[in-house]
Amino acid sequence: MLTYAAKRVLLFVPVLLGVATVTFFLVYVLPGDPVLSMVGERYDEATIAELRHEMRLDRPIHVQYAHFLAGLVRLDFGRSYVTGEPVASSLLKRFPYTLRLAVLAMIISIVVGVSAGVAAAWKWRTAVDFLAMGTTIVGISMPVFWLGVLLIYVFSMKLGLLPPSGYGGGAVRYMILPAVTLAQASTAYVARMTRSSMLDVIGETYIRVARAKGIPEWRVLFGHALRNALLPVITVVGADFGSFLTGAVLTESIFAWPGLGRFTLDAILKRDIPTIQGAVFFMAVVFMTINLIVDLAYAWADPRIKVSGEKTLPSEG
Amino acid sequence: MRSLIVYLVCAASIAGCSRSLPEGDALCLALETSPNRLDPPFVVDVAEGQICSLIYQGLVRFSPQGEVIPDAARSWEIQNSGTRYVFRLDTRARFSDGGRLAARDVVWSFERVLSPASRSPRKWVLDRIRGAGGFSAGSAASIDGLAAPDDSTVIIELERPFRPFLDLLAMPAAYIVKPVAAPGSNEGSATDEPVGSGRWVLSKWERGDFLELVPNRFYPSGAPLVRRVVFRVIPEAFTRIAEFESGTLDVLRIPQAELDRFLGDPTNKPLIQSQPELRVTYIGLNNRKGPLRDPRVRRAVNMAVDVDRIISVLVGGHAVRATGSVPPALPGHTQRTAYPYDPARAKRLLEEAGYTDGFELEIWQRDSPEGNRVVEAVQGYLLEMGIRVRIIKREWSAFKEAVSQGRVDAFFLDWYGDYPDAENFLYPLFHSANLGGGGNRSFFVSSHIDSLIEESQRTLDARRCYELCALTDSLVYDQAPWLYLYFPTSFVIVSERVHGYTFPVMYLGEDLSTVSKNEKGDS
Repeated sequence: MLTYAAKRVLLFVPVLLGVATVTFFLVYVLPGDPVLSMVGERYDEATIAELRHEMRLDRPIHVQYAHFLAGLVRLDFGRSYVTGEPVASSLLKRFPYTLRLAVLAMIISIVVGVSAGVAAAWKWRTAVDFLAMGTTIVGISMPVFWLGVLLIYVFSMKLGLLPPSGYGGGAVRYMILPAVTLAQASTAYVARMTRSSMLDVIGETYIRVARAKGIPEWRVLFGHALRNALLPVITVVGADFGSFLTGAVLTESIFAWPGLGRFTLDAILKRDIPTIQGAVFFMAVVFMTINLIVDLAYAWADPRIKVSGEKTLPSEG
Repeated sequence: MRSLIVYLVCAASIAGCSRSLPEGDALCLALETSPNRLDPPFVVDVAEGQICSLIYQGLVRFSPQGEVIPDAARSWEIQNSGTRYVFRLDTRARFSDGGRLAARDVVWSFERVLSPASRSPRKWVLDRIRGAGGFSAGSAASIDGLAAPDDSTVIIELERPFRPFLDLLAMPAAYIVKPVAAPGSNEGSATDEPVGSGRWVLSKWERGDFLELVPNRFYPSGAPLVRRVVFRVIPEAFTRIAEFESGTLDVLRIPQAELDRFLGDPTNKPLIQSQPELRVTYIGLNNRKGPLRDPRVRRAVNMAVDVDRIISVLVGGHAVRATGSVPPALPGHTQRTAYPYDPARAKRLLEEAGYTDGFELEIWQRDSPEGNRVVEAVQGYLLEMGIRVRIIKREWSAFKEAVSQGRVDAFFLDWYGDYPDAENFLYPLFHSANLGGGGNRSFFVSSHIDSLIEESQRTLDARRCYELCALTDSLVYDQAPWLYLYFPTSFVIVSERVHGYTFPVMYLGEDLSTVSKNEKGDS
């Protein structure tokens, strides 16, 4: 297991190099000038030229790329063009905000999604099943932006139960609406995945044997069926958690949440190249780490799978 | 998996528990964007300027009504036909660390903006001081026209008279910063923990989340009526409305799309304040490109579009039609006869110019609800003339680059005044020294207009000066370098718990010193 994990971590290197390179050239070909974003109105060409020189934007692209790679090796992304702060420390400051939201969203997604999926499978083709699956269709289809606005309207403006937006110093009541918004599509997807996976498993002989032995239904469901049905669910949850941690731009904007998504979007809009490069690199590391954890989690969920260097995993997530 | 979840929950809880959002008695205001730097030479947007106007002093500042009033300087004299300014500093002025604000600090702060190493994009604010150019270029060790003969006197001499010079000194770039390092050095500058002498002190700054200000206890005159001000960063307009309606935001700038709803509710009436903005909205026509080089074509464009109807239908009537570039709130503004909406005449003008079958035209814009509505309407009107408009939407950075380089045919944009003077519209927008990035993005060039603008800049007699401004504006209007649209009016609604707030003409104009908030009803 350790050997496998170490090999996977080693594989990070070429992937991250690829990600960093693609990001570097993508940012380079984007229209828009980072210097113009910094200077406001009524700028003069001399200052623009000075700034461009200071930011090395006047060097040939291969020189810039070499400089970028040299920084990358030291994990130094330089300073933000816009704030003047080191990119790495800004990322580390913003990440905890996103992490908190992502963890709560994941918990909601797992608890609600798996429960709904199990209930739907257990009461297959009954009102419970139809209700659960109908709700999930709505959940998958509803745009994040619309749901966020709707939740603020109902729970903050009309009922006055929860604050509309902000981080609120980390108070849980500030997290509920954004976490529900973020978790919505994933919850629905997890529920559908759990249901279909459970239905497959419930049809297996060993479940019939378990029932024939007189084992209580809840133990059949949760002790025997669910554990085996979880494998595909873990894949979904892992991928969603990765995207919660890296791409919650809309949710963070609606709820004025000071996380990584909004931070990165601002950087893109201002062509803050060091911040964009740092953020994309950081997100790639986060995503790959989550994927690795998901792969390792298969072994926990299904002991038949041996995580080793020789055998192919059922999925790379 | 279980241990992973437990770990992540723990990590997340630890990560967030150290910070707290101030609540309760604080005055809560919203910022649409997160300030990047609170260091005066680098202030380039409204959010940064607004915060800096509270934590720093200039020699002078703007009142809520847009007049220049004393700040760190308690008085001044203008001598030598407007080329010499002598400022007497308020000897009680103190930085927020208790240190005295002396005349040499003013010199230090100005040198810091102008020094070759500063890279400040705001050098233009101070470059009219004699010797500023040489100092900026590195050919002089000090600025000739800037002196501090004693602790409480600052003398500034200009190359030539410049009437709105005091306005320039009220801008953020001219704010006074406590010296901390060698002039021109950015190291140790006031990026995160600024030291100014303003009425307020920055006590907390969670980037992207909120800023908290508390009164500067060393500020010489009366303490503010609220003990804290919290600026929350809320990018979405809907969210700001929700915060206001939930009672957690005290002042809301009402988005244009919501105006009818807010104004339609009679209980809101006493809470709403309006202000004609120092802003002109226009579609710039590239005077150097294609058919738009011909003034007849540009006039035809102005006659082909029913601007009054656009204002009444698309802007809800909350704007004044622009028949020039100087906003109605400023001296120098004249409401002249507008181009009539006359498609037949427009068509004739196009025929005269040789465009009987019209032509293709690209209008660039940023994606905004207002821009989308207005530009689409213009597209419809121009199609009737045979002008086939293609709308190109880009975000600000790409838009600004293309427009400033003169690569586009036409563009929807507005110009905000940096200071309340007609000069701040005519000079950047139409003087040939400012083509492209300087503000003249329609690439309008006229030596006659240039000389009129320059004359108005050095004319100290206010009446004569504003006559010149009005004349210049009329002559430019006649050349139709833009499709002139409107001067918007803005509205704010102030919570009933809050008293004494004045919606300022300039965004820098409200120092929040007389604003109070009832304890009762606080969240």
